[in-house]
Amino acid sequence: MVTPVRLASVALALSLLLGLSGQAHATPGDTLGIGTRNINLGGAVTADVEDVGGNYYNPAGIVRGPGLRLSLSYVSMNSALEINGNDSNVERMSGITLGIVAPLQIGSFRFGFGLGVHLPDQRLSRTRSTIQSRPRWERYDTRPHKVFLSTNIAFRPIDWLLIGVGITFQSPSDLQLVIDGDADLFRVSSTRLRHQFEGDLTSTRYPQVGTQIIASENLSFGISWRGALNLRNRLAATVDGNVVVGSVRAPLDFSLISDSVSTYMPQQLTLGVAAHPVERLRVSMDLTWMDWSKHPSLIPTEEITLMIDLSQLPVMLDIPEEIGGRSPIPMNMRDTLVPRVGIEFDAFQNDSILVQARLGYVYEGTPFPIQRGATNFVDSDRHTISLGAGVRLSDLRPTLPGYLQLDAYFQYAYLPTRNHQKDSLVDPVGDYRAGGQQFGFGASLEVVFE
Amino acid sequence: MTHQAFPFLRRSGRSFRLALVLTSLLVGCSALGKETPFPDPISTSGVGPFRRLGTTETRFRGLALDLGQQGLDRASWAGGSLFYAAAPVIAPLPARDTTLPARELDPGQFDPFRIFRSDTEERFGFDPGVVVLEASEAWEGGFVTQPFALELEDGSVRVYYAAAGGIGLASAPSVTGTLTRSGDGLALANDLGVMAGPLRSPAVAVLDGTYYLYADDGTDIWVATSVDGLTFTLLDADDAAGGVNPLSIPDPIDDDEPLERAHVSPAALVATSPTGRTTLRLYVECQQVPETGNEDQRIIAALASIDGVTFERARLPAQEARDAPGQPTIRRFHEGVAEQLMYVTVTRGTDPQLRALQVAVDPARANFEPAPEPMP
Repeated sequence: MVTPVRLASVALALSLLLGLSGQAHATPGDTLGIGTRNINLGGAVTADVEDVGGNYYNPAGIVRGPGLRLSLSYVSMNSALEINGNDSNVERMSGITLGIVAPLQIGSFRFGFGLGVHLPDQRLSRTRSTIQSRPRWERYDTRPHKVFLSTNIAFRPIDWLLIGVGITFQSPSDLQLVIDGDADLFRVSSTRLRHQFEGDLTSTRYPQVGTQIIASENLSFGISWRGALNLRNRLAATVDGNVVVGSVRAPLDFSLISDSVSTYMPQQLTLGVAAHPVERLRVSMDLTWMDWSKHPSLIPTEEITLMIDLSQLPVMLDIPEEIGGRSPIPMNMRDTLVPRVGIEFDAFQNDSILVQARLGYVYEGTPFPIQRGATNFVDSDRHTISLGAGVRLSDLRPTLPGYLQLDAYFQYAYLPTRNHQKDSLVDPVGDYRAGGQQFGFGASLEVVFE
Repeated sequence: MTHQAFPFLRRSGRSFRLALVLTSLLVGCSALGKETPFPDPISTSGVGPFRRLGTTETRFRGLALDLGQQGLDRASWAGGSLFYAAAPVIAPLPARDTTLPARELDPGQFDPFRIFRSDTEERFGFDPGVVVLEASEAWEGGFVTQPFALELEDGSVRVYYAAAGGIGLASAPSVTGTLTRSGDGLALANDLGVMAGPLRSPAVAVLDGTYYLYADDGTDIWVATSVDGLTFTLLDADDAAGGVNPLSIPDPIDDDEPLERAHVSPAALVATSPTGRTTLRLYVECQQVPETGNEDQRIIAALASIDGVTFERARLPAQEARDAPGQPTIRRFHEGVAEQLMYVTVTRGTDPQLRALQVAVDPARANFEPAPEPMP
């Protein structure tokens, strides 16, 4: 006979295997968060999350709640980030988050499934290659503009111990462009070129594991780990043709191979605690270690080859002997510790309604160094404070055998101005100052079946 | 209360909410897929490369000054005015000094140079203006040329110039005021014992309360300092070497760049970056060793220094063109947005040298196309 614990062990092993078979990658959750209540609490929910946010913060929480949860939310954040007082054109980050959390029980074996999806409303995915001489806000320019899809399972072998595992999917790209034919230098109308384009958006995955320990009715602990995400883009372009002048043809071979990391999110380990020190008050704290120091270079590796035999052409063309590509430049980033604090207060409660007020704070020290050299990855520390509320409507039977949860928040983030002073006095970009603010809001509707 | 005060709100409440929802949907949908442009490039170091302004961006088809049949020998800004040296061609035209490089101006083909000031600027183009300084002192040798104007914080202006005996100075209480010499006006005399030739093309900047004067001798650039900007003392730019030495201009960083035989005609500017760092920038005419025949190619290089003596050279030329740009001058323009570089090029042949003043800007994206005329 197969025991529930052995079943869970197999599931855990399989999930880890699936997760580790691909490289891990970046998510909008790291920038925006997942779940309105969780964002409102500064993300300090690792110890006791039980809603759709479990798919991101701690998969163990999937099996914590009383029943099926369906959630729909909309979150948005506008950036007013500046460099030297000029707007940096950082795009609004926003999207719809859908989630399902389904705790189940077969006999004495309690387990659960979770699915979380974040769909950006601007575009499904955005990738911009790095122009190293053009400063950009690296953590906010393209990273949040990705689809987030996370699937998780969790089980509860004993009443106070919850364990969850999951994988999150992202999509790198592999693009190929092939051009062949003849290019006539002086008779454009005679030029005949054919091209073929091929693009693959493949799948890559990263794992996450978490546990929650319910020490007492008023005290929980949580640990979660997310693997690193390394989203690579590869572009290969080849030209195999002829340069034509009159009746003379000069064979031309050109190839460009660009291999870049478009997004990287480090592995993260979070410790959390949540407590109810007094009735109606919940306080939680998280501390996340982020392994930024392993960040690979965002400068693409480029190999460019040009071969052309001009000896037969009756014209003088100045072709460089060598076309230099680019080489990766070390990022020199540092690991960070991110503290998060969340406070939730039951402001009003009767048999049919519960109103909660929430406050959250996060401090994210920047992992990026002062940009003294050739790269220009702009970033600053970020202080984020969130204020919001939730309303639970629970007297809804027989229409709904459970309750309806409405949540909303407003968020303000302050990024102190940081001076980037170049080592070289004649750096092509020069010194600059970067800082700004962000404003966010979100609202959600959750149906909870008990 | 609100509905009592504004009954239309009660009547149209449903319509109002419907309109609100529809507006929200429209606003939301209109933003879908909207592309956000890349942030603008940043250039706060002033090293360029500068972009020569187009014919439609300027009053005189890319030129700052159009003097016709006159010789032009360097220009400089102060406030809104342009100071320059010019002289008519001698008729009949004397034979050109064949020992001079192809793009070098031959003073023997012109009347004595004088210094002019133009106060009228329109779309980067200046009127000819008026004479503001002529040779009057014995040491000047009958001409004054290559002015460099420095506006001080109190609004007064100092014009440093080259003459036969060295570098001179004339001052005015304001940019448009009358220039007068203090004494004989000699600020730094030639020291032909150490220099290859007479001093030319002065440029002065004030760094940390000290006046730094740069001037060339036809091959190298020398530096002199002063506490008052009136009289200068030559500075040894290389303590390690014996004697008094000129500035050491770093070689081009790229190995495939031609060798340089002379660094002349400096323009100086003290600038403070957005982070508060103050540097002294030099823009220098670099005369390259001809690779073939009589080709006399020149570029303008940008350099920067913390102490005014040790300079770092930008990798790319600030200006490089087939018409061999030379005699640069610089001014802050649209603070924080663009800097403007003017330089002299040969436009109407080399015998005699009739040259023009070109205008270029950094960053190159700065656009000065006039706004289109509104449709009637």
